[in-house]
This record gives sequence, C-alpha cells and structure tokens, in this order.
Amino acid sequence: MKLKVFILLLCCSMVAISAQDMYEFSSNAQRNRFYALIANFRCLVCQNETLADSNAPLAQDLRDNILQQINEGATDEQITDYLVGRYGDFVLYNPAFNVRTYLLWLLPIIMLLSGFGFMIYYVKRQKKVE
Amino acid sequence: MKIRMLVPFVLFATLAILFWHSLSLDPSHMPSPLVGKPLPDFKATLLGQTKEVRSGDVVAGKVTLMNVWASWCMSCYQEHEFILKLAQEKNIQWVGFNYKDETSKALIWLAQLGNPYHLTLADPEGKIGILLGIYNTPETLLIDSKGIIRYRYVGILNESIWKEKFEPELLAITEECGL
Repeated sequence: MKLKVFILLLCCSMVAISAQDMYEFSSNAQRNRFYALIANFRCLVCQNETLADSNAPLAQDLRDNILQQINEGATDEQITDYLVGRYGDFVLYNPAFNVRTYLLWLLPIIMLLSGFGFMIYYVKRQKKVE
Repeated sequence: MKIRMLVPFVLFATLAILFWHSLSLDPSHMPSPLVGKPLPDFKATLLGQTKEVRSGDVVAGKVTLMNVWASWCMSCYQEHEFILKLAQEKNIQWVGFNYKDETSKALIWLAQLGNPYHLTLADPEGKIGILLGIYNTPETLLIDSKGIIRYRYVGILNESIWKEKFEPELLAITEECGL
C-alpha cells in the first residue's frame, strides 16, 4: 500500500516539473544569460516577484520577448535598455545605483554606522564621568 | 543638556512625518517612460478584420485616446459606460486596443455593451503591448496630433480621474495647436 502511495506521489511531482516552460537555447552561454536576465527584472503584475518566479501572463510574454532578443543577438545592455525604455526603472528588480538612488542604497549602512557611532560616543562619555 | 534630550524626539517626529506622507503614496504607481516620446511605430490588424494599419497613420492629425481593454477584464467593464459617454465628444478620436483577448469574445463584448471606438486594434498575443509598455488593463493613453504620447493612465477611468489628469493635458494640447 505504501509503495502505491509513493509511486502516485512520484508521478504527481513529475507533472509539476513538466508544467514549467521548456526553452530552447543554442548554447549554454545563452541559457545562462537568459536565466540571469530574467532574475534581474521585476514582474509588473506581481510586483514583488522577478520574471523568473512569476506565473503572470505578462511575465510569460516578457520572458519570451527576452529569449527572442537573445536569439536575435541583442546584448544584455540592449535588452535592459529596451525594457527600461518601456517600463521605467521600476522594471529592474534591483534598483539602479545612480545619483537618484545613492540614498536608497547607502542609507541603511549610514544609519547602522551612525548608530554604532552614537553608542561608542555615549559609552565613552559615561566612562569620562566616572 | 535639555536640548540634547530633544534629539530622539525630533528624530521620531521626522520619521513620523515621512511615514505619514508615505501612507498616501502608491508604491505600484509607475509613470510611463514613453510619455513625451512619439507613439512607437507598429502595424496592427483591425479587430475582426484582416486589414492592417500603421500606428502613425492612425494617430496623425488627431488627438487620440487609446484605451487598452479586454473582454476578460472586469475593470474595463466598469469604465466602459464612462468611455461611451466621453466618446460622444467629436473632437477626439477613441481608439480601442484589444489586449491578449480572443477576437470572437471581444467582438461580442463590443456588440453587447456598445462600441465607443472609431477603430479597434487587435493584439491577441500582447506583443505590441510590450512595445507600448502596457502591463495592466485597463490603460488609457493620451496622444496628441503630432503622435506624441502625452499621458498614460493605468486603472479605471472615471469622472474625477478624467477631470484631474486628462482635462489639464487636453487643455495644454488645444492651446499648443491653437485649435
């Protein structure tokens, strides 16, 4: 009985694997580029997921579009510019590091360091009073 | 000494004001980077027909409102009556953009609910949609007579959105063209 249940579950897990998209690549380099790229773009429907994770139809369309561009010979930069040119900076899953986003990226570190700084300052002051 | 004790309070007050303001912001709000740029050049079939049109020809010389919709989209259904009312204004052209939809269902939808569009373009696979930066339905794009995209609204069109977001831009276009 346990064997039958096990085989049934095994078959079910096979179905889950086959439900994923099967993409054709002409080289390993292209496969790697593709998977790297789709992990770097945001799904605009499910905005907390990357294009790699999302099941939304738009994500499917964008993955197909990126694959097509790779096959047509576009560079990673060209593909990025294409998507950012149409969807804005928000389509980048990791915000770009530029003049407008320095504060976004560096503020946590600044706050951490200034927190430490205050701590050390107050501890030293306490020691001086003693 | 007393002034130093105020520092944590001032920090807290600053953060509180920032967070209070942020509550009214919409993190999913995405302005289109195509605003201010010409409508991308593409060819599309008219819904239910074999005839193809060029995007440039469709918008040339007229102020266009391009409304992205689909028969499966409940929000599009909700804004449709308002668009029917708006489409009675003769000086702007309403162009429908049927996005990722089945032609037969789209045609039935228009027949049953009314067709406000001068013409409707079909994009059943969503490929033209990517060209235009479409990510949700409904979306409405305002395009001026030179083919420049002036504004893109994502969401259900209603009276207040129309007055707040579209009318000022329409006024600007009219003044520019001296119409």
